[in-house]
Amino acid sequence: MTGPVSSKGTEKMFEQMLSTVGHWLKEKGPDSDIVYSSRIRLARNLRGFPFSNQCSEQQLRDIISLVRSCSNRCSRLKGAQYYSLKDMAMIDRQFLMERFLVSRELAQTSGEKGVIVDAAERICLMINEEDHLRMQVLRSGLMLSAAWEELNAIDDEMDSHLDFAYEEPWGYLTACVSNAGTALRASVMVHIPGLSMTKRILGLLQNAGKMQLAIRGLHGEGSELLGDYFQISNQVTLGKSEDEIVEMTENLTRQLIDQERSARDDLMKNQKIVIEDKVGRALGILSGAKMLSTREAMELLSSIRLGVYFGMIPGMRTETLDSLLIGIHPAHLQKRFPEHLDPLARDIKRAKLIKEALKYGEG
Amino acid sequence: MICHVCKDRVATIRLKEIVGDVVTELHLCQECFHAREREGISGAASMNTMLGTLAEPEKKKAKGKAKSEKCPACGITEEQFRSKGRLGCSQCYETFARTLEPILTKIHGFTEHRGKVPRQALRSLDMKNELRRLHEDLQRAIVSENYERAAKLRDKIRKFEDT
Repeated sequence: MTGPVSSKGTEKMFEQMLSTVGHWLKEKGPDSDIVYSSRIRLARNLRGFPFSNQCSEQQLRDIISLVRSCSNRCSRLKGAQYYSLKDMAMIDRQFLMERFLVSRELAQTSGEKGVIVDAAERICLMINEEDHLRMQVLRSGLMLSAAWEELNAIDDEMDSHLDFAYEEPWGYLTACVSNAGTALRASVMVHIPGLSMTKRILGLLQNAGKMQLAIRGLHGEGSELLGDYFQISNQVTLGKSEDEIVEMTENLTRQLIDQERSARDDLMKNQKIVIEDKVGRALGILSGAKMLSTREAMELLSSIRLGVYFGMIPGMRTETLDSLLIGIHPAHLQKRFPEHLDPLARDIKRAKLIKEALKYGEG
Repeated sequence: MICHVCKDRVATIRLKEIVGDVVTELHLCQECFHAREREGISGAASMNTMLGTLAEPEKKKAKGKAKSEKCPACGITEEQFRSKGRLGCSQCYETFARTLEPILTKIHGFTEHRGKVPRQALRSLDMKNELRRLHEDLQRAIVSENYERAAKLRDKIRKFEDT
């Protein structure tokens, strides 16, 4: 990671964020032991402007100003904070991405882009990503319907002030045709070590296409698969209504939860020693390691989470694991220290952070 | 894109393999992907890859054309759309309608939107069409015995008719 340690003006805000996880994560929604989060995202473009990839700098600035002034009038976005990504240091953009507040695309590219985030970090509006406006609501556990209800209301409010690009027969027009129609993406982030250990996940990966689902790494398209965490989302956005898409994704996730619980039960019944060994080894490495990469840490924490599920680690709190899932990533680690950390130094700090957190978690 | 392993079939899956510290990216066909499954799980399908492979046969067909179509509003050509997988503006949907139809069918299985309509567009739409769609949805919900959804649709229709 290169560049300044932080952007001017955002230090204080990010410092506060660093000490906690998003309020949405604290909700502990239904089945949050398996479903880490539910997210609904809507893509919108403004009529009268070309899509972001063809806009001039001035047009991009105009879009930011239109969306900001509209969001100021939106009752559900009262007190929300706007961050311009234009002059934001790379580390700050990555910090927002690690908290699931901006997409990889928005974090990795510079230019006239911004994001509006509410205090609970539950609602965010990305401006000038692939589409002019990408609005999302994040909830803990399996809460796709509730997230959709909330985002639909925000969309209605935004729609009453902005003129969205829409044309029959395609519906909402988006830069990529894979989003056209409803432009709605319903996704869940699931932790499914049971399906992974029993290799039943292969069936899921094989049938994902038939079920019209996309399975990706934690941070969506192009991101790595880490520690049995997967992001599952609908592929189809056109030809089905928003309610149907949300309902279908929710039903399939419910089936997945049942399969995961059944896989975990089978493992406990038939291979208890394998799980005990896996959890014990993870605890051993985490308590003794002096250096940990993000990948290794994620994999070991995944095993610890499974141990917590089976009640194998008395006193360990899932809240601690939840906060580590975000806190061990490079930008979050870097922000804890004033000096620039190279990858090796980060691995050392990561090992130390986890050791301290798990001790606290057991207390 | 052609499968990196058999170098014969069309690649539809992007696979990231991590061996030690080395990360390699492979584009595989279904068969070769399944063959690799025995070695472990490390794959995720990418929409970009899918769009790329979808556009591939069309690209070959278009080779004979002297000049590719251009959007009068934003100026992007069909070739640019195919290589980047992104349209330039709303007008592109109209301009490249014929090209888009098979792509939309392949991705979504449909070419027509059924869902929310923004305020501005709703005003200009024929209200009867909207009502007809709701009735069709209601019928479908009844046939599939999804009574909860049917009740919601009934209320929606009533509300719609009232306004």
